[in-house]
Amino acid sequence: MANPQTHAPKDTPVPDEVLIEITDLVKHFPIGGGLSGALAGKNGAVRAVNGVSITIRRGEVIGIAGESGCGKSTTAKLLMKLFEPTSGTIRVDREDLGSLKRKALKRYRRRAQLMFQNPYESLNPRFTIRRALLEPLIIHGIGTPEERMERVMQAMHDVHLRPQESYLDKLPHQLSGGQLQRVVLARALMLEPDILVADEPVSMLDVSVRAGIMNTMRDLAAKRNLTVIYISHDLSLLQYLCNTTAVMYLGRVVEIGPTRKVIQQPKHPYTQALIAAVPVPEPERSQKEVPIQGGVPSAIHIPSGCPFHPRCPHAMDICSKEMPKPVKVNGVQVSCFLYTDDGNPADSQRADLDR
Amino acid sequence: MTKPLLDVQDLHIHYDTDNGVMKAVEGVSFTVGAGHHLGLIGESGCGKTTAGRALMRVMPRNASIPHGKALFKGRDLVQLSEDQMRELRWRELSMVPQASMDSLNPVHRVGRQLVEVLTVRGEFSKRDALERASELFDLVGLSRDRLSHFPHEFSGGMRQRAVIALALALNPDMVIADEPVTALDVIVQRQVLQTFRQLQDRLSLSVIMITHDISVVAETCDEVAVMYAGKIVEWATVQTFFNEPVHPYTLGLQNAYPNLAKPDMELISIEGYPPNLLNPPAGCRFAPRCPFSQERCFAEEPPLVNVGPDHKAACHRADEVDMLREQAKFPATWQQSIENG
Repeated sequence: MANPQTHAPKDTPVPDEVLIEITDLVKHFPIGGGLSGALAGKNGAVRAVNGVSITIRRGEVIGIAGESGCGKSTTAKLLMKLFEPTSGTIRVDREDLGSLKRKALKRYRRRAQLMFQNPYESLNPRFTIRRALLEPLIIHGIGTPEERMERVMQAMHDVHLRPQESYLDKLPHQLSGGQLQRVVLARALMLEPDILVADEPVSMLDVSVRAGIMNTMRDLAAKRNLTVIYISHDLSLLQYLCNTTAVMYLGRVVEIGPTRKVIQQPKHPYTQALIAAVPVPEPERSQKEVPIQGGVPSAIHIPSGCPFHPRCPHAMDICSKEMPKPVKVNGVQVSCFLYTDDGNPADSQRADLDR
Repeated sequence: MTKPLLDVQDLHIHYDTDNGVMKAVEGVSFTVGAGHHLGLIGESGCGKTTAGRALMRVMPRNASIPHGKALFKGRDLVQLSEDQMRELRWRELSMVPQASMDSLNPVHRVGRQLVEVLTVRGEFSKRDALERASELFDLVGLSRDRLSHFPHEFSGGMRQRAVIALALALNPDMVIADEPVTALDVIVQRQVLQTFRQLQDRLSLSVIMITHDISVVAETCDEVAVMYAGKIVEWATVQTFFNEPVHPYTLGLQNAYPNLAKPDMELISIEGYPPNLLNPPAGCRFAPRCPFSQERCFAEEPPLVNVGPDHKAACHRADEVDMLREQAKFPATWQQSIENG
């Protein structure tokens, strides 16, 4: 365990160069015509992302956590420019994604790669593994046929698909889920990206296989100095892989900071509830009280003020009226009125929050 | 233990496929006492769902039970006629199938679906059925006014609890729950798991919890049976399973499982994949992936034998368990097996 090569990224210092700057990002999906539009009223919209600002440094491994419907996957897709934001900007190397056209956009698509949850649906079922891996190189016109093949072999080596020859001519249905997810990872790396967005990359896989993929992804990110954005509902996965963790609720970041602090000493009442609810494989450990019940409300009718206030055990008058501004508390940024501008818990709540 | 509620003996389940006979479950034996919760855990394809469905006798056409008994309150579920099974399902033994939260009828109010089960299967009068439906909603923590709602007005967690209410409608002695919380967010997942625990206390209900998630087992079960490639490889109380595991597969599973309470834990995967059950290897089925396998493991199948009080395991090297547990902690131990295999 003292082996430096299996050193967790959460312990490595984060360099200071800003790579991705997300500012006041908003994405609303209007509920258009048809029956659903009529029922929701003409001006309805699913307000998936409501003012997200995150700064990501080069080489940082960041996790975005939250329950279904919190806007984490929409944020990832905006980052990949699969949607246009309703407002707000995403800058990568100071360049606004919104302004990218044609060639510049193609260049961006080359440097930023996306990995989805379901490996069975991520690959063309009629393409052999060889073709699936060569395809991105051909599309981007990279290298001679020999050089391309060399890259394929190297990528397969890196994701532990060895010996490569035994996989090259197989079709996706001939491989297991874990092997396929390794192919998907290799394909994402073919164009030597510096940004990788992975949306629930292991949640379809069996436990014994999952750990292997997580270790491979962690080692590759470190080796290639990749900036990785993991989207997951699974906090134990993010704790294992990420330097930084952001927790989202109804389209907003409620807490963001070093993973260890966010998970081991959560500040926001929502983060506290979320972490208390995670089951732990230790039967003797007494279960923590989870102070909130039920699911996330609809993103069509978002509560006023702090969107969490109707479920929050600490809600105060102000919470339904105003949106809390982010404050720094012990190195973690929290958006909650329980914490004052100087970063201390408001006095009346102090006893409740100390853990 | 007094006479168990369910006593499964040497159960075999085969699927007839185009490529031959797939032996999905081979020689599985376990018992569940009244009011006990058994976790049946394992990875995809290990036979846990097949075993659960066989006990309910809701199997695909190509499945058969060539051998074995499943004595439920003294009667053999394998031998009962379809009519007898129909009498028994819902009333004595019921199931929360996988992904069943999506199996509610979308065009009927949830309350009506409950009343239907109660009147058609349970001989309740319409009025009594409504009263019982309300009680059931109380039991699973849904508010009574939700009875008049349609499934689409429910969240995923609420639908899952409605399905649990359906399974409990006729007061069965045992419920087989197949991955009941897998698709749920953690806060709702916790509520559903708490519902199961409260049911155990209040109704002394027996539960077989089929899951891949060892932390779900830690939170809800009294005993655990670990399945691998169609066989039970270890069976223990929950405490023993976590504190004194014996089978190398169990050791490997626990190594691979992230724990939020242990931020510095290094995860170790089990290299390789489970065997093809159309043509399973001789000997121990875990041997090809096992870092501790010896010649004997590939030739001779280890029987499931007592290794301690209320604790069974199927491993030839169970008597060297202290050494196995020590060695299993190191990532290098598990990498060895790839190079050899």
